[in-house]
Amino acid sequence: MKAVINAENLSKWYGNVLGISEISLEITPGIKGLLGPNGAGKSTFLKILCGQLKPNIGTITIFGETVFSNQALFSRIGFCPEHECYYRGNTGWQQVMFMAKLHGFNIKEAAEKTEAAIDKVGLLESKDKLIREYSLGMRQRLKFATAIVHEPEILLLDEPLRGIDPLWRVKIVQLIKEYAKADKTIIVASHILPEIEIMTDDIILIHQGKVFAQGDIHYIRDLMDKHPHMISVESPQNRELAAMMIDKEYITTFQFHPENNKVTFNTNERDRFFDLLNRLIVEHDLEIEEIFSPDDNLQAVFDYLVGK
Amino acid sequence: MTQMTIREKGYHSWDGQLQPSTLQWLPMFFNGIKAAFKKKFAKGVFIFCVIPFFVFLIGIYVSTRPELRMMREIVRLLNDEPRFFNIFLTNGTLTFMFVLLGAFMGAELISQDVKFNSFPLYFARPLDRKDYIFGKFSILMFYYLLFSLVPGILLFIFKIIFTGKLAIGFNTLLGLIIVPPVVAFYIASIVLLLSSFSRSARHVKIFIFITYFLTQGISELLVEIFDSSYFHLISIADIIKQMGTFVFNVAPEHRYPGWLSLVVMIVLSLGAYWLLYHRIGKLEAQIESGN
Repeated sequence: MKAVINAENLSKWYGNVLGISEISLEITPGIKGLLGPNGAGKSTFLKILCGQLKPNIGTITIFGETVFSNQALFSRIGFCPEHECYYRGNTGWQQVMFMAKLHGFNIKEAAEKTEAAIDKVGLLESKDKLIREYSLGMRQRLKFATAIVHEPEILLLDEPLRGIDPLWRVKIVQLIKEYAKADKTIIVASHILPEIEIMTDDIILIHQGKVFAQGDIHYIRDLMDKHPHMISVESPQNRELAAMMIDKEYITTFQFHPENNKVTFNTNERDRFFDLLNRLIVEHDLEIEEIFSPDDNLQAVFDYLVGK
Repeated sequence: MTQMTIREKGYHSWDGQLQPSTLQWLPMFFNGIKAAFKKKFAKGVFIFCVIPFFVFLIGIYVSTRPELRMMREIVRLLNDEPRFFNIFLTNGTLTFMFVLLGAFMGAELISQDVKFNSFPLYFARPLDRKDYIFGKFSILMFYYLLFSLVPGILLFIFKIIFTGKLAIGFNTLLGLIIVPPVVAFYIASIVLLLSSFSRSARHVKIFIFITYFLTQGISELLVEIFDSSYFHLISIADIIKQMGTFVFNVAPEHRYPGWLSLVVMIVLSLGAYWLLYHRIGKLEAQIESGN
């Protein structure tokens, strides 16, 4: 699939403070999770993507066009910034309508698009309320509506689920997935791992302004050879199993959990470990109740990469 | 209303085509105009701003009634058409009303965007800094011209009606066209620049009045100390008066060339615009970097 966004050697700093450093990425349509702790450079990267910041070094193109000061391109991008940025004396309708008009729609089109966007985020009944009367979750949904009102091809969402109640969290995630199905490019930045995990497996890990890793979360995990994989095996014969595996150089440690007949291995070579395990199960007719990898998830990957 | 499923509410492709426009600032203009009307005391301020128009309108009427001999002075002034319109457009009261209007409507124009981190709203859309500043200027310019250019033209029409003579001098026409936009641009640029200096609209209002009174005070003081009329250029009210006398080609108020006022006003306005342009860039960067 052809990349929509191309970033080459992007660096941005604010005085002496580094925002991002030497980021090179190719982003194709679909949902991409931009994951990193606060201050990692996620927002800086998104602001460069939507043309609000100019990189000090490097280039960024969207649809083959340079981004900064390319106002025509901005109609194809929807940006939902991290912090609140609206006039609280306006009603929700006025705010979204104003944004639609700024995109160049005439009044009739802008009204139609405003209604559709507000409906999608479930604020139709409260559209005439002043924004200052909205709850945090409603304001967040309103911000999302302003980002999608012009039906952009690229959606840049900075912490889009913050403050949203669980019901609407699910609905907004579904909405984002709908956009992805329509061949849109969506980049979701968050420091909350489960938020990203429910939307996509395709992630970019960013920390201290640098991209640590990108791609499928499981693939990234496999790449991290220097960090041992944790594999738990639940079996009534867990001690026998451990005894048969103890002399293998790729198994670094193991730990028994007698309360649930479980043994947890740490290995540097997952594939060789599973080859051996499968062979032992067959050869010795071992009774296995469960095999799972407790650290094969986003949190574990992230913790490893940032050195926690 | 029937409930739609999420699937139905989801993405629908739009077949339309967004046209690039050179008037991207227009929604800001309309939004700002509407917002100003909705403000508390808006009607009071607007009524206050049309008082000079009615005073001069009565004057025009009186000048056409010879029986009102007690108003001979007014009649003499009104018959001097350029002088009449110059006084109407550059008098100290109207200038002060513009300052008041600037404080009432202009103080919030940029300060609130800083306060509410609104720059991403604008600059993530097809607007650049010039469009943004243009949009803000257009709001103030609209109201300034509404209370100067429009009443000026109306006064001229009423003069024709009351006197029954359809005639206009070149200087009057030139003054009516040039003076209101120059004054509006000059005051608007000062107000908007001051509006970018604080997140608090209240502080900006104070800055606006301090600037007005301080420049007036300093100007008078320096004129007295150095006995030089050139220091009137510092005063917002005086520079406008002197510029008016030059454009309308009437006797100058102060002892220095009137064209200099026009040049200084234009230079100051463009300088303020330039400063504002860079100030917005700096504020935008500060907000983007989270400082």
